[in-house]
Amino acid sequence: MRSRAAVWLCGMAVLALAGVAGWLWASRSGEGGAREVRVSRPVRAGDGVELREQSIPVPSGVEPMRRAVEALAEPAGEGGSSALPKGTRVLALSVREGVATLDLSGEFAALGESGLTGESLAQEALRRCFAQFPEVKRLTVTVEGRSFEGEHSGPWNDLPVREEDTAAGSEGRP
Amino acid sequence: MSGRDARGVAMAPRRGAVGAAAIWGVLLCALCARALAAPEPVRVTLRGKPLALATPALDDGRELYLPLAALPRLGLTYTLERRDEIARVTLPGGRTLEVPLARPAAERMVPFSALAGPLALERRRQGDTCDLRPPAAPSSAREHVAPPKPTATSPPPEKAGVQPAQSIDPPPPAGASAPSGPKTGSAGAAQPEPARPEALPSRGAVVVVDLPDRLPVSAPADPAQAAVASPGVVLILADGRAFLGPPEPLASESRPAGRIVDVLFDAEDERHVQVRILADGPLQPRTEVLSDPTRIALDLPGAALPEGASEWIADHPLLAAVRSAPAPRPGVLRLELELRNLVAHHAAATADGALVNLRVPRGAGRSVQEAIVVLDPGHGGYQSGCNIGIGGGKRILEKDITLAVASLAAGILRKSGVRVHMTRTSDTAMTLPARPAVATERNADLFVSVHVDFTPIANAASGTTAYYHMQDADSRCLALSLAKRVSQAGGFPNRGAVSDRRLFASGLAVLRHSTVPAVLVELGYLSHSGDRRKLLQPEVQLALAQGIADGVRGYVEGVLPEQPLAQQTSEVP
Repeated sequence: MRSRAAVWLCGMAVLALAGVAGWLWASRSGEGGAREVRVSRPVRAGDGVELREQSIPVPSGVEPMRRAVEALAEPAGEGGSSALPKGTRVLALSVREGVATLDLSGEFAALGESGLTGESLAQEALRRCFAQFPEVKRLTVTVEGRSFEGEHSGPWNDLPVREEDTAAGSEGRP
Repeated sequence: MSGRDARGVAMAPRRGAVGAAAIWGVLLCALCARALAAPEPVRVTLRGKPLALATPALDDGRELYLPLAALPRLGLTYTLERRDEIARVTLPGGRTLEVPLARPAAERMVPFSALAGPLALERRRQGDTCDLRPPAAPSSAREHVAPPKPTATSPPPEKAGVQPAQSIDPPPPAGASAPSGPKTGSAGAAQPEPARPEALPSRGAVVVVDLPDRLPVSAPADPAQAAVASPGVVLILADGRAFLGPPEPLASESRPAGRIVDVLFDAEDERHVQVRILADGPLQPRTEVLSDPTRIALDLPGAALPEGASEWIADHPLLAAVRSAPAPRPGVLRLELELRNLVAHHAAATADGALVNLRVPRGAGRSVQEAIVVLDPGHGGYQSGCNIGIGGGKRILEKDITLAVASLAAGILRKSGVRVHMTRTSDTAMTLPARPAVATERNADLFVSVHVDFTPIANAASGTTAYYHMQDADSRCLALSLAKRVSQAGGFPNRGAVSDRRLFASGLAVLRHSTVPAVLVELGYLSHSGDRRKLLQPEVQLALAQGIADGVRGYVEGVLPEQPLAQQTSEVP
């Protein structure tokens, strides 16, 4: 009886170890478990508006990149605003050879009513969002499968996501 | 070999079970230990100054993993190779390293140990902060550090509230007991730390000293880079602290560059003048346009004025004088070019100093009647631009305001004899490239796009902004003229002339596609209740239109934005 109990105990230990190892693997690979992504939201600053970053948790089983983009369209807290037009959803998101292609729902087209500042903040928030993923170097935005063109900035194709890749360098927002 | 104990219980299986349990116990402990040693996010500071990193660094106790974005902040450039498994890192001296990237979490990161040697930095963990700093000082380091010597290129320490590093004993912060001996710490710190002379072996020395108050100085772009700099000791004032240390990466801002020998003016003709700054070494000029009065600030890091000279009078229609001005930052000599006319400028370094070319902007320096202007009312048709509801189902649309103001401005300019073309005269949509194309087709001299802005937060911003493309000198002059005169006419705050690269990496489309000097002027903010009220008033719209007309005229006639325009003698009916 005692030897059976020992074998049973060992079996339980193996299962427990497997569970711990799985949890560790998942949390280290970033595919599951608790982790965070950063999102930028417009806030009042001085005599204008600037983007402020905050970390948000990514629920288990949710792809972090998609979660980060979706969070940009969510209502912000008091005194803040969402960076993307409300209701904007991610229809598709893929990364191939360093270029992220982001297909957004039709609500995003309302960006044309956001003025120059709103359009600039939205593009910058998306660039910052993707800049936290090293595998992404450039970004193309489409709306329901069609190329998106900002009413001030023109086509949002092949946008560099990091400062060092842009002509703008380190120059800041007005 | 199986035996039985006194109670007759089989012993071998029991021993085996105990052994197996022990092995699994050890394995479990090892896994737990590994879990405990899993990398955790840490703040990274560079000699005590936080590195602003969007992605946090990770520390597992044995290694510090830096995000790739940290490399530029350490003065390094990199490229990713071999399917992004290797970063080829270029050190400040040009040397390159191949650094295998680690993956302590989801993202690829740089193991700090690979950079520590080449950068002459080591890490010290304190709580959730990891400080990168030069290796600890030898005991004699303090004696080798000379007190800072005031030079003509930086304010004397006494003037700036700084005393020689060896004898600094600042007043204690309120509520803190006065410590004895030299102390250090940033302004406003609750508890001063002991002075920290830190030696960089064969590279110089660093001393951080207290300052009584925050000084009106800007922080260096990256103080950390001082750690990998070339030999030499200079005083760098930054962010309430004085760094006595090797300056290279703080660049040019602090290294003595050259003493100015003379300032000469070469006038090719009335439309061009060259200002030559002769020095005993090369200079690194940077310029900035200041307003009210409009003037050009020429910043020369590390330069010094000649003995007894601080002003040079120019006898030229574009330029009145060059004179020294208060330094914008320690270690930077500022000269200001007092202008007589609106000028486009370009500065460059030369072997024996620097030069600034001033010229009449493109399409300017003549009567406004000779000019051809294209006015572009922003948006139109299905592109209504920004809009806001005003009750009763009515909305104010940007496209309507821009069309009204641009049409009024066109009328005013036409009355002055200017040939004006509009990109649209009705509520029609146009593509962005088609708008500046009108200026090219019509052989115009200027292109002005009229818009109204909006912020996602109500009442967050107010005023007039004129955007020009990237660094275009001619368009910048037009933007200066329009921003001042439009804001003044409409009674809006002047938010100035701003490069469109501060909004978008590739700038604004209508400016990017323009072949002539071009500006996009945002009259005001529809999201601001005060601006909105004004923008809807016909008399303010007329005043804004007059401001656009005056801005165009001021540019073409070369009149500085703050100067009144001459009364026009005749109007074309």
